[in-house]
Amino acid sequence: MDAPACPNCGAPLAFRSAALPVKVCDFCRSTVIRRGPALELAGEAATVPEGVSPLQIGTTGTATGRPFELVGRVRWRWTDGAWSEWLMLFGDGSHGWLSESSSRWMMLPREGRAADVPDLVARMRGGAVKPGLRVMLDGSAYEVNDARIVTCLGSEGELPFAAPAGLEMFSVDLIGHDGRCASVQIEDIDKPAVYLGRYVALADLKPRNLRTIEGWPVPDFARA
Amino acid sequence: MSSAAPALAVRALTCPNCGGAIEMRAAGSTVSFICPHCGSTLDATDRDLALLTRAHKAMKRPRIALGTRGTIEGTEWQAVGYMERVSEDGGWSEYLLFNPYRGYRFLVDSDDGFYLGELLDRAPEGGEDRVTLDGNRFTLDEPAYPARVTFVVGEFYWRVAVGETVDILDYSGPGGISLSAETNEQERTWTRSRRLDGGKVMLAFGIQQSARATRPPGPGSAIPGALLVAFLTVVALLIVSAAGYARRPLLASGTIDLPVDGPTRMTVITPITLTEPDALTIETRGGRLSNQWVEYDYSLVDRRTQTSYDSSAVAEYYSGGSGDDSWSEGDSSPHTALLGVPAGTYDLIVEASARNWPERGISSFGTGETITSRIRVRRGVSSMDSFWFSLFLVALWPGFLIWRAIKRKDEED
Repeated sequence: MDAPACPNCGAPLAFRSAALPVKVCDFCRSTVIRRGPALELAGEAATVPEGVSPLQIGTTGTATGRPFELVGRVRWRWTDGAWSEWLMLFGDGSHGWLSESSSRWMMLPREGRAADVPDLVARMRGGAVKPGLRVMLDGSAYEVNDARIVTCLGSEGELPFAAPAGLEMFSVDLIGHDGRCASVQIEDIDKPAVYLGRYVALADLKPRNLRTIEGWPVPDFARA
Repeated sequence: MSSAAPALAVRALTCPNCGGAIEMRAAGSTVSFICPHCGSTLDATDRDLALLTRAHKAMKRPRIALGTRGTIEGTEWQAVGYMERVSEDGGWSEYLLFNPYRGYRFLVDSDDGFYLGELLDRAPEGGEDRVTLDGNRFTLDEPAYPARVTFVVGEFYWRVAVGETVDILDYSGPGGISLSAETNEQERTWTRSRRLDGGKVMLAFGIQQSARATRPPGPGSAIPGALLVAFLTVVALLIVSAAGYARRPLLASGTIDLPVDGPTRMTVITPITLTEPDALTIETRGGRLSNQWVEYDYSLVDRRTQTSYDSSAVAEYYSGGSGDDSWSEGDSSPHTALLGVPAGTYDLIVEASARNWPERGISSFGTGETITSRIRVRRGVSSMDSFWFSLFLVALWPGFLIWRAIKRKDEED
């Protein structure tokens, strides 16, 4: 794990992953982008508002047999609510998202490729992505659950992209059969980010180091 | 970085409309917050808690006070939201339960009992009449019916509003599991529910026993089943009533004309609104009775659930003799107490009939005389009779224990 100094405040920047280019400084909240050996400042990231989430950076667990650690988080809002996307870093350096919305968890450990979604991208270009739309992703049928423009509220930790407050994306949630789900986030229509996974209960992830919440005992499933 | 300080479970806030103290228990997930003091709807996704709809309502309190925690089958849940809904066939209540490590559940409180519901993360497969989930088949109970939200308080992870209507399809499956689909213009959500042991839910969330009618003790009245819960309820009510004799406001009243030896007459006294669980006293004043009696049958019906609490009373007055031998007996204006009536709006249905004491001359066709009876419904327990009777009830349980102990001892000897 390398720890260069934050170009803004000089505090060590503990990058957990060589593959993730962005880190929000834990001390001064500057967004730092790594380009090779160079570090670039990209403004101050907004603090994620406090909530009663049981997750935190440093929470570990197992997704589809692979151990992960949560290393970053982006908080998004839309007209009728807000949710968090936690970045799962796997042992092999790959990543996925653990989406937390209305205290429901969507585990999206597998990154799809844009080639998986030609149908969806084609429809997006036509501006015709609406709830109920059926598309094929990675050989399976999915239905668009919702599709909307979302705005970043804040971010922390390590991330695959810089997420300043106010960043806008087009976000599409899809539901497949047997609990399968998918999420597509598009900032640039030529580079849609596609993640595939399923809904889980927290217990399914065999989590450790969950956030303690006052007055709520950590459940048995999260105890070592 | 990996072990932040414990998150605060409750966020203390102030209602921007009424200034009342409010507590948010699922900050981060909560989208709508309906103030328990004034009924205003606040936007919980806004840092400043923007006021969406201003209200100045008298808010009723749910049977399970919001914030109450209860353990259902080993998992602790906190009631954070409450709504009442109606369909053509009647109404029911739903509590939104929250546990930060488990998410949300719905606790449905209906005439039929308690159900625990969980939002499904997938749609069952099949057509409208029959669907399949996890290999189990579920059959449609009845055609789709609309349900409307009539009351809401607390916090919700979606935008709620009174008047919201969805179409519901209910399906029954094996093992007492049911599925329901709720559809509005935007979306269809599926919930899986199962029936809970009502007694356990009431115990877990500290719900008071439902209303229990008390009658004057007499040869015909059975000794109440020695229920500890009922006993404790009575003790609690006794303390409350003893403390608050002066406070027994009139809630509703009515009159009924009863032809003596004529048919049974009916009247409805309404509305009777209780903002919190309380005792009710029904007082009758049966005019001037002379060797006559009036029988009253009461049915206190909850408008929302149509649950009815039944009781009865007899007004009677007999006298005879003359001089030193003259006697009189009977209570011509009986009071009937209903204890532990849940909060709600009620109609009191009164059925009554007046009779002459046979010795005064039998007449099954009526005498032409009419008794005008006035009926008043007051909150609280209103007379010393009720007080002494409550005391009598309170004594029953220990009395029963002592009696049983003596009996056991006798058997041992």
